[in-house]
Amino acid sequence: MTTETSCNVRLFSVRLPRTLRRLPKLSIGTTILLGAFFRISYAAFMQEMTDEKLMQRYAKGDAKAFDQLYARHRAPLYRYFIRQVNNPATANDLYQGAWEKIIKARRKYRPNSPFSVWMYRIAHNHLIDYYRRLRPMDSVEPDTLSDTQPDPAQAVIDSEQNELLRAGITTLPAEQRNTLLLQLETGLKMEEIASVTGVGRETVKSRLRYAVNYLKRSLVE
Amino acid sequence: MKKIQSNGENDKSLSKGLDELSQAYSKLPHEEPPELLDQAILNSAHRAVEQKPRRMKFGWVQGLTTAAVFVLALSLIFNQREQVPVFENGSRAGDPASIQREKAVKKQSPVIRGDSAGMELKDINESRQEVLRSAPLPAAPQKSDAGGVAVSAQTAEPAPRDHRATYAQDSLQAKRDRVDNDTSGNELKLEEAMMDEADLMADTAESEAVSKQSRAAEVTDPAINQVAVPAENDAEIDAEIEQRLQAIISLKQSGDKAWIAELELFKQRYPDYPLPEELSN
Repeated sequence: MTTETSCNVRLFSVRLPRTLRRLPKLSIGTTILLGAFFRISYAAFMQEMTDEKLMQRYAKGDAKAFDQLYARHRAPLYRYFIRQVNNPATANDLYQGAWEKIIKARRKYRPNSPFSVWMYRIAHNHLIDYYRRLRPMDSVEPDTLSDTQPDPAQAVIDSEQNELLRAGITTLPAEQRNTLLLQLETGLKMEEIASVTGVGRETVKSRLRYAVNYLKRSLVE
Repeated sequence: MKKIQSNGENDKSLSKGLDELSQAYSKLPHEEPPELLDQAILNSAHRAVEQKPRRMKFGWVQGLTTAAVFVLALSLIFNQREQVPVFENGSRAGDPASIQREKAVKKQSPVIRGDSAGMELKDINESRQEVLRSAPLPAAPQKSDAGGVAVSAQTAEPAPRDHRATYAQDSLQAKRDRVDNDTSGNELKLEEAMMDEADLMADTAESEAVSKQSRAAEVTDPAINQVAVPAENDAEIDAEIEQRLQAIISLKQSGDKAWIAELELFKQRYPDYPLPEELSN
């Protein structure tokens, strides 16, 4: 810009006023500042947006909205899977598969229900599909006998309480474990958990009650 | 009542148990997905909403349009070929041979305007030129020679061009130019030109007859007859010119202003002819 201006000045033998000569530098600086300002404002705007609006924006083609949405839900969803199967490799596959399904179903999302409910319903169905593929005859049984089952000696070394809890969760029946993890990880209400799992509210409540009592007993012991 | 109370107690114990359990659960290590997995998912999400460039499909509509344009262009070309006018001699307009012919005709007779008068003038011009070519006339006689029958060795030689022919050609050229310049196509002027051309035609016919006579005499005595006959004709023409000049002088003397127009015409017709003193001023 500066070179062009100086060339023009020589060419036409006209001495531009100082303000005009500084204009290219000023405009570059202003553009950078404005860009940074809008970037920060946009990020703040995105952070303040609800999950539902972000998902709607993503469905309309705003990839940044998905980034924000992903940042919010990545860890709970991952933990939901890893606590279920207790195997990182399987959890990674399930996690990626669930997100792929969410991405594909972006246009089907309706903001009638909370985004978390919609997302965990997809994740839950994906998990059920996994169980069905794994053991068709006993589809609801989790991968409890995997190699990653907590070692009691290791549990004593690390943290007895945590390992007991982890082991207790892993040994829970699949429906109870699923309901409990949805409650602990996502903080969904009982009605929402019922919506995700496709059962009644009372069923959710009884499953939770059984799971809590079982874990209490295992922790006391 | 007891049932409602027990339900309430159950809910309380459940919520209490859940609180304790969530406290213990929060102490568990927080596993997170690997960064590579994050990146893969984000890339996949970005790719899904990227607008793919539309490929140009050559559908049936485009094919039909191309075919229609092609057929239209061909039909236009053939239609224009059929509309080319054909001349009487069978050649088409735009034919190089016919163009050359047209140019030649225009060169020969610039008076031609496509009407019958123009065509007649063209014929007159051609016949006159033929006569002039076929019958080379002897040199002009001396003005001072009243009889115009002077026979000498010089006059016996064939002259390249006769002054009569020069006058005729010059006057014809002047008329052509006049008619050419007059783009309005004034009929009166065209008629006048026609009259003059007719006069010239008579002159040329006369000269043709003379030339025939001279050729006949040439057989017997070419040295004398070849010069004598044109000399007589020259004398007649001179007499005519003199008569015309006398008429103009008489008009001038009588006070009729038409003499100016007549003189102009005379000058146009015979620009080289020396005028008498009465008219030269």
